Amino acid sequence: MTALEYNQCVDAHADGVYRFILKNIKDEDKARDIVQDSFEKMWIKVEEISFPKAKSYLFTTAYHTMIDAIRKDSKQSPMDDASFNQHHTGNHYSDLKEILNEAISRLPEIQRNVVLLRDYEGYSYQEIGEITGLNESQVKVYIYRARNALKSYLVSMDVVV
Amino acid sequence: MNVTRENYEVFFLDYYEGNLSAQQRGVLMDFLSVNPDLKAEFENFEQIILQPDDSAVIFGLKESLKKPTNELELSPREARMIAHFEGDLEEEASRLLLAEVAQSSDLQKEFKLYAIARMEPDSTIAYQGKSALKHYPLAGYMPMMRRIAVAAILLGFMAGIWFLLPTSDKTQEYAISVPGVPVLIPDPPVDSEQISATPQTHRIPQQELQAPKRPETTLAEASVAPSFPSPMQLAAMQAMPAGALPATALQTSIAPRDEFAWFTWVGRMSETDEFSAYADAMEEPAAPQGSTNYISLASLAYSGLERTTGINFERVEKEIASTRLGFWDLAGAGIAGIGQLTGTSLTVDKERDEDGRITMFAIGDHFRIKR
Repeated sequence: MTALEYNQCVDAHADGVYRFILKNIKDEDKARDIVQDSFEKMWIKVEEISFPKAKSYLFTTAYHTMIDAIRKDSKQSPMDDASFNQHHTGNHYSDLKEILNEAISRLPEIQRNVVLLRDYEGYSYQEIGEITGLNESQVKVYIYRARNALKSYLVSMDVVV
Repeated sequence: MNVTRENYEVFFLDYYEGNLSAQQRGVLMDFLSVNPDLKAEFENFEQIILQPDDSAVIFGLKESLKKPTNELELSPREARMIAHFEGDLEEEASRLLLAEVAQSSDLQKEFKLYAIARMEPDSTIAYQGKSALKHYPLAGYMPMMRRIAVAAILLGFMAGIWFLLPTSDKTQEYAISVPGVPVLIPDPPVDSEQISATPQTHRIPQQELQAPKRPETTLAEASVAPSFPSPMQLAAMQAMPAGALPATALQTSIAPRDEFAWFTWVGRMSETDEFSAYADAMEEPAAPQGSTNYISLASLAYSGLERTTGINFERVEKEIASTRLGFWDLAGAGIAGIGQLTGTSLTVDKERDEDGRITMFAIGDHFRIKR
């Protein structure tokens, strides 16, 4: 793609990539670094990447860079399904959005990633699989488990619907 | 296959593991009957079979070796609800699900919980500083014609300055006397506010020097060939100051150029106080009293150039030597030079206050900025 198309990608996808990374690592500085690294990696290969594939390449690069950063820091320990509904402080959230943000943060890493890609960016199972390195069936399983976990958390918080 | 003393061990092992047929067992027994030393070894072979240990040896990391399965581990109804909101359910299946949900309040509550268990992108979270991510390679953005246009403008501006600015001439000036002929006749100053408002006793700043218009100019022109000085005369010239060198002259009348302001050494030729101030400002030595009028060779050359180009090089040179050029000076020089190149009449006028600050800038007759 051309430099003009590259700059169009900056305008179109920088916010989305930043939101996705920030929801995972919850560190603005590191999220910014990952976004910058991802765009620079894409710029290095700008002539090899077609414009329609740029978004997918960006999210793939950002996802793997984020995973590397998380593994390097080893600050986040993924919670398995059994511990998801463990003790919660019982804070009374008045905003459903806050409850869901708390719920998403409690998900295991892989479930959190796939559900954010699904809900934030509207990727298909196949596209999510290409980004995360999973097959389509695995993506579907993780999304279904994540949905069930989110619903269970809402029940535990006595969310009235 | 026959049993021999080289392969009997294989038959022994097969026998005890139950791998020999009835015929093969008979062949083995016949072999042992003719080899009684091996029969004792056969009978002792059974004793060396190991028995398994009953103690529990457990591998504790079996779970880490497992791979995720395709099973959703959800109830069928939960899976259908999720599939409905994911868009994975067929239309008929979705219709049946909705009908089922409508019959139970508990199912309705569960159905609503799955409906809201979705993330919405937070539009308030935005990446700040997108411009720093962008790249602007020149070849990718500026069209070829735009680059050529920018280069042409820069070259035109530089050419304009080049034609206006005189080359530095470090050669020694020689003054040529024009006996009996007043070289330059001063004219009344031009009609401008500053000059008309200037009191007679006020020292005119150097930047405001403007040559007077005159109906006709008599200019001295040196003729070198018929009156080339002799060696003795040359030696005498070198010893004399610049203002006293003699030369023959021919008078030539030229039509004045009104559109260009130019300055001449009128101070040297005039006896009025007004033009004496010009001479003082230019720091020229006063002409000796009662002597013939002189004009420098440089002025003669400048005058000749002025006739052809209309540019007063002498004035420009002196102004540049004594004035620190600013942006507007260069801009005016460039514009005037472009006017020369294009053959249009582009005059550049400036007015300055007592502090030297520009108070008016005009290009031609149609563009004027005044403070």
